[in-house]
Amino acid sequence: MAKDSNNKNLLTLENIESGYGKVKVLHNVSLKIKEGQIVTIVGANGVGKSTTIKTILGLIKPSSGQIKFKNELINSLETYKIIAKGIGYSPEGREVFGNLNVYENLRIGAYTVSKDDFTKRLEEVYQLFPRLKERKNQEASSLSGGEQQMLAIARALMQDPDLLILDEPSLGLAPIIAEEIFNRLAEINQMGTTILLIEQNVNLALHLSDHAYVMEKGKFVLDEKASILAQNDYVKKTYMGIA
Amino acid sequence: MKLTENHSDNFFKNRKKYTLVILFIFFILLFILSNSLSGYYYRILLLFGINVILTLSLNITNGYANIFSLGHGGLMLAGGYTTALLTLPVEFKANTLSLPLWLEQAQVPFIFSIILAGIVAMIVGLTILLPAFRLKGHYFILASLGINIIMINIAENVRPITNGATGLRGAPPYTNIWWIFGIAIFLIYLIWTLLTARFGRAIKAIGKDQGLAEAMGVNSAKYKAYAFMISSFFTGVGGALWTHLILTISPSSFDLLVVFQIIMMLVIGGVSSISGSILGAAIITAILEILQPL
Amino acid sequence: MDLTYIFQQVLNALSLGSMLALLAVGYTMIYGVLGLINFAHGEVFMIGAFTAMYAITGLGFPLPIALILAIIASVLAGVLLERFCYRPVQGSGDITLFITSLAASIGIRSLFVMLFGSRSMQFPMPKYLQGIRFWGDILITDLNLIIFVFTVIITLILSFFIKNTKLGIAMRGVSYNKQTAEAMGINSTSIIVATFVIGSALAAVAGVAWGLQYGNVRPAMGYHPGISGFIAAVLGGIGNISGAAISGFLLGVGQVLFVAFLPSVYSGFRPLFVWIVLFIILFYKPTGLFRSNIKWE
Ligand SMILES: Nc1ncnc2c1ncn2[C@@H]1O[C@H](COP(=O)(O)OP(=O)(O)O)[C@@H](O)[C@H]1O
Ligand SMILES: [Mg+2]
Repeated sequence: MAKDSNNKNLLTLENIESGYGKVKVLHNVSLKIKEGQIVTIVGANGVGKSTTIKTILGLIKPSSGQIKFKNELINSLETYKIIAKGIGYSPEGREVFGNLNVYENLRIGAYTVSKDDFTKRLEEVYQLFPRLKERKNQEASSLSGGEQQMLAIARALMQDPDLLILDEPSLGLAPIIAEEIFNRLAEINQMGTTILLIEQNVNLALHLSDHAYVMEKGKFVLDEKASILAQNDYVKKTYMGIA
Repeated sequence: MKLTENHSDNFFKNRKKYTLVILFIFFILLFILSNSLSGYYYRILLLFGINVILTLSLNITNGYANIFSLGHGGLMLAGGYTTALLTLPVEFKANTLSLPLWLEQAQVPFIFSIILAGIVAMIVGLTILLPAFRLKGHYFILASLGINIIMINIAENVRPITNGATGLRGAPPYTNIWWIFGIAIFLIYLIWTLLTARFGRAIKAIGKDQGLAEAMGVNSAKYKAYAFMISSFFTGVGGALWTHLILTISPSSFDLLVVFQIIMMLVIGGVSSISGSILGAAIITAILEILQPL
Repeated sequence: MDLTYIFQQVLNALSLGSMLALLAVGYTMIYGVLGLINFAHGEVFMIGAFTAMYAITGLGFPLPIALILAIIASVLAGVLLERFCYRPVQGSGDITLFITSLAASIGIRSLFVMLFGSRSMQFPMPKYLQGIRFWGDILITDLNLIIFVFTVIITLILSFFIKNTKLGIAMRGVSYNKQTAEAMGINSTSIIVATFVIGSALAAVAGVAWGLQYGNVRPAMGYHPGISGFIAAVLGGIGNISGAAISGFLLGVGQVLFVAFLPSVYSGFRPLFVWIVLFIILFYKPTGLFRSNIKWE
């Protein structure tokens, strides 16, 4: 895997403090993602993984620290401007627009994109997820959980982002479907998209990733190559249930 | 354990004593005010007292129980018309309205007419709102606004009883400082007591998070209905006191603007607080008086 | 009470139904994106009517120009409301939003009472709209017909727009989930402003139609139609454009029939009709008549 050695940093977080109102959730969080990598954050429920993502996206503002995307400071930008810089986001719990059909969901995913690029991109995304093409006129709320997850990923891919952020894409899915989604993520990465992944399915995630962070109580406690972390006794015991 | 209980008991007794002393001083103050204030300021003082009653009543629903109602104007109308019909001179009723004989002849003492005003307001509130209780959030607020509009419409159109848009004139000037502040203090005492009792805990829990309260076994429908009944009753009483102060009542006496003013009294002083309601009533009453010439 | 009579009454009600439909569509869109009952929508409607009235009687403009000026004034009012009343209190809770909206409504109305007095002012109707035609025994005014056709066309165009354009899809997306829409790169603030623009323009058209139909305007004119419009929006299923339009029509026609079938002493009860309908329908279907287009908690 040559891609994690010399490439440029795509996204960096430096000493981020963030939270909700007076409640501080993240303490001194720093993170680096190089172009072309798949980076995973693992951690138990409620430690601040989603909060990290929301801070990157500007949905909540960090109280201190710096966030740089493509070497540009994005701390204080509004969410829609951050997204337009080339970030695709698949939220925790999928959050597809249940009142819109599949096609319309994808149209919203391509909100920042011209009509021509949208049509082109739509075909590419349908190729990646043929199931969505079959159901393009179906309302998103009527899709199965796995299909909704695919839609959420497809929607995030519509603007051909440089960085794809996925918050627990395997949540609540049958293992077979989770695996299918992970295969798709590998393909997407092969085509050149950098991925930041949040996962509770540590086994699958570490297998897929180049690099991984372990978060506990709003801090990163481990930060290693994924292949090395997968052999780490503490990680095995705590997060993979292997004694 | 025993010891601390005794201790708090003592404290409570002392507090009761202090409260009585404060009340005594307060009534002496009222006595002085009622004899020294000029007609204009005396009237403002009375309006303030009525506003305290109305704001506290609204606080029970819109504040503590978190049932946001825009319908209290309709309840004031119900109270005001009730007391007017029960106390207006027989001659006026016979000449202007066509009432059933018992109502035409009725000359009810003030104490009973305001109680009946409260009861009628309560019945009106319940009739219209009980079906609305199953509505959520904004739908409920919309339905409550309906009470206002429906009551105004009835007052405008049921002419034999309400005299239409002209309304009823010549209600006896029964309202005075003692009635108003007596009732206000009783209401404060009632809210205070209720809040520290099981009812208060239930209603505050529902106000904070109805789902959670229900999960903890609180029968939210029941307590919300009680809260609405108490609130309606005193709102009706407030409307009655107002009627015997202004001496006339018409369909436009308590429209949405009046409800809005009381909501402002509630909000300015701080929702879910007794002292807040009193403060808010004072501030808005004053502001409205200052703005009057405009 | 033969069929001709009923049909005649329905025709008479077309303009009222149209106005309520236009108001309801604006209400439903604004409610959709903001989650807010914009009580001041009735005042935006009133501002449109006043502007047209003044453009015609004060400035001597012809009706089409007056209509355009009315739309501009109402849109301006709607955008200012959003910017200076609703945006500052975004996210501070339902009750705050409610009070703000109520305050805006009462404030605008009081301002107009101060400026123009509370009495009705005449709204002139141009000659070319005064025609009437007969179909057998049935009479229809040109005005009724024009207002109705105009409303149907506007509603159809709007439905098409909401259904098929990127902006329309974004509006529905913001209605469903604002935060997620933002995270897809949508500037929800500009979507909300666009919604206010459309809703207010519709209200202006309704306001001018009102002036033409009833021949006068006054500061309080927006109160009852505004609430009826919102009730129609609720019955139509919040966020559902055609549902709102159809409910608006039905409420308008229903009001007129309600009065037509009762002895005339009861005609004063007309405003109660919408409430009776609301209570009955909400009692059986607490989420409205038609399917709602936004997630309802
Ligand atoms: N909207 C919110 N408001 C307040 N606190 C929140 C909010 N969302 C999450 N939290 C709190 O922040 C902490 C971290 O949550 P989150 O980042 O969602 O955890 P994770 O994604 O790792 O499961 C939790 O304690 C959670 O209760
Ligand atoms: Mg999470």
